[in-house]
Amino acid sequence: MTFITDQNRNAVSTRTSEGPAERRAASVARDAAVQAGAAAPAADWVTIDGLQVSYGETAVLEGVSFGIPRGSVVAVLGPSGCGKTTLLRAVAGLLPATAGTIRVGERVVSSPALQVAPEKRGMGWVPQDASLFPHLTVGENIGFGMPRGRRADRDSRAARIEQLADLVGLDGLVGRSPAQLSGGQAQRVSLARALAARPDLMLLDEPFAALDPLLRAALRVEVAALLRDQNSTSLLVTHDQEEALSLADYVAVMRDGRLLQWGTPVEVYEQPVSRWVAGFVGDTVELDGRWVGTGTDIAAAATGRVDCALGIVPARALAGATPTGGTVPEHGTPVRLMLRPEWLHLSPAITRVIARGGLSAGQAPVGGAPVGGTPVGDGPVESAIPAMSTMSTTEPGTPRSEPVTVAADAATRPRARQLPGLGVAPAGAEPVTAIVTAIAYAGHDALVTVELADGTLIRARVAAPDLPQRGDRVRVSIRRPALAYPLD
Amino acid sequence: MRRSARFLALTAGVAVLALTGCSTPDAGDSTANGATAEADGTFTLYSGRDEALVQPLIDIFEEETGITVDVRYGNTAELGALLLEEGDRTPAQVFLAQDAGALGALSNADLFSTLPEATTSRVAAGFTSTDDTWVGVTGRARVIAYDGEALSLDEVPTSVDAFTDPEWNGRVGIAPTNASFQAFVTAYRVLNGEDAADEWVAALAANSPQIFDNNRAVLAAVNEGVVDTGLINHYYWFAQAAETGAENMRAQLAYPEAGDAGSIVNVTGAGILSGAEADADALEFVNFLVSERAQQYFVDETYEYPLIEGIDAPTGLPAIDSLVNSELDLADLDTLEVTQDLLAKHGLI
Amino acid sequence: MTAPTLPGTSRAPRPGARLGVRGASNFGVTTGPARTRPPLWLLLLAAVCAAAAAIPLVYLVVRTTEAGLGELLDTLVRPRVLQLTLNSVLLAAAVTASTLLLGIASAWALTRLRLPAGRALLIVAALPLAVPSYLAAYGWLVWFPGLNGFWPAWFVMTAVCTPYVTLPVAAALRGASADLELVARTLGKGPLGAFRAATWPQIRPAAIAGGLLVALYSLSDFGLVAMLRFQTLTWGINAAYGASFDRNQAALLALVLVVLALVVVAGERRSRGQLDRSAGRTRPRPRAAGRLLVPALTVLLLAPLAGIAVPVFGLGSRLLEAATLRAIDVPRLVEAIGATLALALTAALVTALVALPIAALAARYRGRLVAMIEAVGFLGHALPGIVVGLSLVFFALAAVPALYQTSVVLVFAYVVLFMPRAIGSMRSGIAAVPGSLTDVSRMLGYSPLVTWWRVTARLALPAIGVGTLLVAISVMKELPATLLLRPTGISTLATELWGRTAVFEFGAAAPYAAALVLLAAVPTVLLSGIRGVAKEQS
Repeated sequence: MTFITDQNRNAVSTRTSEGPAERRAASVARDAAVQAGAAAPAADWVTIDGLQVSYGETAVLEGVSFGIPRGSVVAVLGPSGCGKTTLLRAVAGLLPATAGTIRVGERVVSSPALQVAPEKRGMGWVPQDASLFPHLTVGENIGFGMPRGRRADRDSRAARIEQLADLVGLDGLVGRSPAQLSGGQAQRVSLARALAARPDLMLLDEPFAALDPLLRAALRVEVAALLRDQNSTSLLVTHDQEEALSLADYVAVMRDGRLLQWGTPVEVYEQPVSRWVAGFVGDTVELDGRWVGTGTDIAAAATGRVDCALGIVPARALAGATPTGGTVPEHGTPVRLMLRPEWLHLSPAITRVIARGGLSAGQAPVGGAPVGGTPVGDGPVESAIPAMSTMSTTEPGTPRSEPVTVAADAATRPRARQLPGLGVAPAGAEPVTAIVTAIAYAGHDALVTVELADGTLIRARVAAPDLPQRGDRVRVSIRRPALAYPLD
Repeated sequence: MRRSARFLALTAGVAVLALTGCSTPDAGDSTANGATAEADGTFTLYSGRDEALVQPLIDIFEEETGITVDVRYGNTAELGALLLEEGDRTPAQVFLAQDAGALGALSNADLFSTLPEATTSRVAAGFTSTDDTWVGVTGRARVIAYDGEALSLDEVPTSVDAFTDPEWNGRVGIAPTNASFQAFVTAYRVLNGEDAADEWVAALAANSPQIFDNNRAVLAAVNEGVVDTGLINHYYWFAQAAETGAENMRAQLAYPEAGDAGSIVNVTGAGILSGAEADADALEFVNFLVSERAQQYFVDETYEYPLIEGIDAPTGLPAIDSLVNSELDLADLDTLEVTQDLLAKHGLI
Repeated sequence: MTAPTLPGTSRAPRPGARLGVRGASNFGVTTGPARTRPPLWLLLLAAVCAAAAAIPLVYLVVRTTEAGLGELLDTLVRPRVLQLTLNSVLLAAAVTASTLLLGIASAWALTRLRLPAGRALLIVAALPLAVPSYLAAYGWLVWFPGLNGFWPAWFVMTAVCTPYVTLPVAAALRGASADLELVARTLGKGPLGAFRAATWPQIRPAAIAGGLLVALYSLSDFGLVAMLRFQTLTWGINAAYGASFDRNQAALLALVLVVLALVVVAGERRSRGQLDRSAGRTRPRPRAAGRLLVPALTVLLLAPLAGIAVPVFGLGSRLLEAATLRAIDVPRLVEAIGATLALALTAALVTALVALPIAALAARYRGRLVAMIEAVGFLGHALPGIVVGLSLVFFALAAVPALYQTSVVLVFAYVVLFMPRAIGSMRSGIAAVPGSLTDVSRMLGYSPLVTWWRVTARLALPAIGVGTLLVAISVMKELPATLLLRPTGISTLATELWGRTAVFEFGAAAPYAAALVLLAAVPTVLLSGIRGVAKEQS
């Protein structure tokens, strides 16, 4: 990235910033910038303001506004039918916007008064299915948008085509026909073809959706690098959250024709504005709970404590989480907690039987792990219990209906020690024991489903070397405050 | 020579069209622009009679008079409809028709000019128009064609009345939409009265006649043994016999007895379109058609009855007098309409 | 606690911004069309083109209103009119059904089985197109003079019309994915069930478009039904013109045909469905015919045998017994061939140009206006040549008398008559060009027109070619309108043929018949050879 705007810097800083307050500040600042209007073009290369698209009476896109800093990659993320492709087509000019403006640089390309024709917007377009012209060779496809000049230009044109083919890793294939290409190759040609015109803005409509997963992952890394390398401002539409988070500088989450959240991938993933966004952007663990303590505490620190199946855990309220709309939450107010599975920590007590019963050769379940070998609390005792027998033991601790009871119950437990590498384990977050009921193994890590004492099932992401087994008794703690959302 | 000039005109027109899209006037066909009223050594003829039969006669005319004839061939019915559609904007000066029905329709639409008495008087009344709008050129006897392999001559009825008999159920071929058939039904009405005609048409329609589109198709069917008998004009038999040889004709002709409604003469004729009233070339051609030369040509080449005095009917045909009924004006459309209503009433047209 | 505001999700657009852009230059700016609404210029262009096809309709309405309501009703309720209408509908429905069945089966055999001389078989399957229907009927009558009524008319009409279905369906089958059918087989469907479930949806638009042409042709044909003595509306129309000289009644009957045609066109539009070209990259590989060889060949050769072989041999035998087999007037024959060729080529090109906007509109847009324009474009095909011919006489004399009886008006008549054949083929060809390709071209800087030329037209070129050739073939065979509208003195092969058969000169007619069939066979062969423009896999 060569051009970092103030706002961009702001945004980037949020990645390292500790407190949510700064993030909000950044968000508000950006908002203000957009609202101010005058500042927006200076900060953003592309500005979309109040964009609306309607088919007849029904609006499929409503009041969408955001700005794209020059040289950055923006991913529009949403389920199918959310209007994200409509957004892309409206930006491209392939669909007329019924309201709002779109600006690229200083130029208004779309407003209620005028719609610049797509061919005059200077944008590149990479459609979902590559859409290569079947009657042209790869080279002719790449050169399709280049001016077909006089004879003298022909050589330079051919050279540029070769160069672009090289760029996308298709050197030597320019003479092929599209039918001879694999899906990935076709998409590369499509990309080269769009880049050939040196567009002010690249628009990519689910460019990897038709590819198989392995190829998709590899190609998107490559494409993201390429786009950044070309200093190309890009707007990419996807329904794949992993794709959006991994290759975009900013992610816009859309639903039902509206923009729900705009932010860096970290913001969107870690501070989703709603439970829906949270669920759409990644795996979630959701628990019901109630605020504990006074509202002022919560307001001051922007975090508070919530009593839930995991005990009393630290929690932060996000957009609209205050039930009274801006006022501080009251003690006992019901709330919905959201955690990412990787925010949960299954305590090192998972060094169960195997830990003592002798490590068989080739298995090193605990050694390398940050928590390895450090028994916590009565861990050794518990871990000594064979996994199978644990299944039948009755869990101490009773179902809790009163927050006070919970607190008391929790207080009787030994306090967890802060462990290195385990992330935030604030006071009050007591590890509770649970039983592993299922493991969804994914190679690099696994989603481990555990059953809490009250029967609640939650999932935790565990790095591969630390995997427990089904039936294991584990301790559950959280690495960072949960996010609290109001009940529906 | 002339033909290739026309062809050039066509290709030129087509080329111009291809180059300019749609709206350039075709430079080649100046003759198409409305009727030429004056004698200018050329006129346009719409011929409802076939080229193979008429063109040699026209060649003779052109040779004799030096007048150029632009001929547009088509079938009589369609050219009649065309002339009605063109109205007074027709490029044609003369219409030569195969049947009196078309001539009567044009006459009723006031599209013909009145011919000089000198012309019309050459043809006997009953074979020409009553108001001198057109003149009869040749006569065609109404005949019964029969399958010579299935029937002998004496088995063929001598009166059309017999065809309503159950014996002939499904064994009669007719072309009810054809003008010649309608002329015959008109004659039946005039001769036998409306009630009798109604009864006869109803009975015929109920007797499963085989319906054809035209006389030629009726004859072809009889000749192939598809249907035992057919009501046609004698002319078609001779035309086909000329092609395949009379000895190869399976179909044979029987003439209804004199006085029977089936025994009439249909005429072909010609008229001058109203816009060409003063065109001497056109009149010269019409006069030529009723000249001895042309009449003899028809007798020799098409086996039709001549309509002027002094020319003998083709050999082997009954004398025309035995067929004539002077009470009939076959072109009278009012009467024709009644006939058509009658045929429509019984579902034949 | 302050909830973070989403950046402008629900803010009204600033009025200032709007005012600011009002003054912007209009250069290179198009006013945005709604997605379902076509651009105005295309709509206008297509409407103008369709207006040409509407001329007969205007004429018919003028003639019919002359008659007055009373006469109209009287005529309409006559049992005979009802009978003729019923016969027309019956014939059109039966022929459409049988051509669909035979055509789809033939197309399937051609594309999915490895047959001996497959390429030649394709041409043979297309050849009935080269035979005018009246010639086919005549040829059959030589062998079976007693043929008459519904069944023979249905049979011969099916034979000559089957290629209208076979060709487009074969093309669609070649492009259809085989994957789905295999999937359907694995799901326990039999071969027929699998075809119906998986392949039929892919070929349906092509089959239905072909069926539409067949239906309209069956409704409008006169030569064949006259020869085979099956009385349809066209029979009634000809009788009204020719025997009764009752143009009003003829016009009324023709209007009944128009209504039937509109029903057919509307039905086609409803059942056409959208072409989905997404699934599967696997192109079907023809498999060994095995025990299917004999049935496949039977099905394939049925139409060519009935539509070509039998009539041609019939004509040949007539030739042998003819007395007029004298010296062939070669210059005259050559001249007729030249006139036929010139007219056919010109008319085909002009028709292609006129049909293109309508096809483009119908392929890409929906809506009532679009449907209307397309339906009007199809009207000419449902009317007998004599009606179209007379309507253009009426029109030319009223509007452009200078052009009357010139080749210009004749070519115009061909455009009106045969536009539907071009529209049908072109429409499906254009519809098959993915919209994403035109999007890409637009995004690469090309205007809609340039995009149309460089992408849509290029990819639809085979279909446009097929449409153009179909028109050329039809023009060569056309008779009634040619007779009415040709420049005086100009003869085509069809009119020469007519002139000779009318006087029983079968021998003299034979060279013209042969020349006509041979000439029409050229575009037919070209037509059957047209493949896609996509770069072939090497």
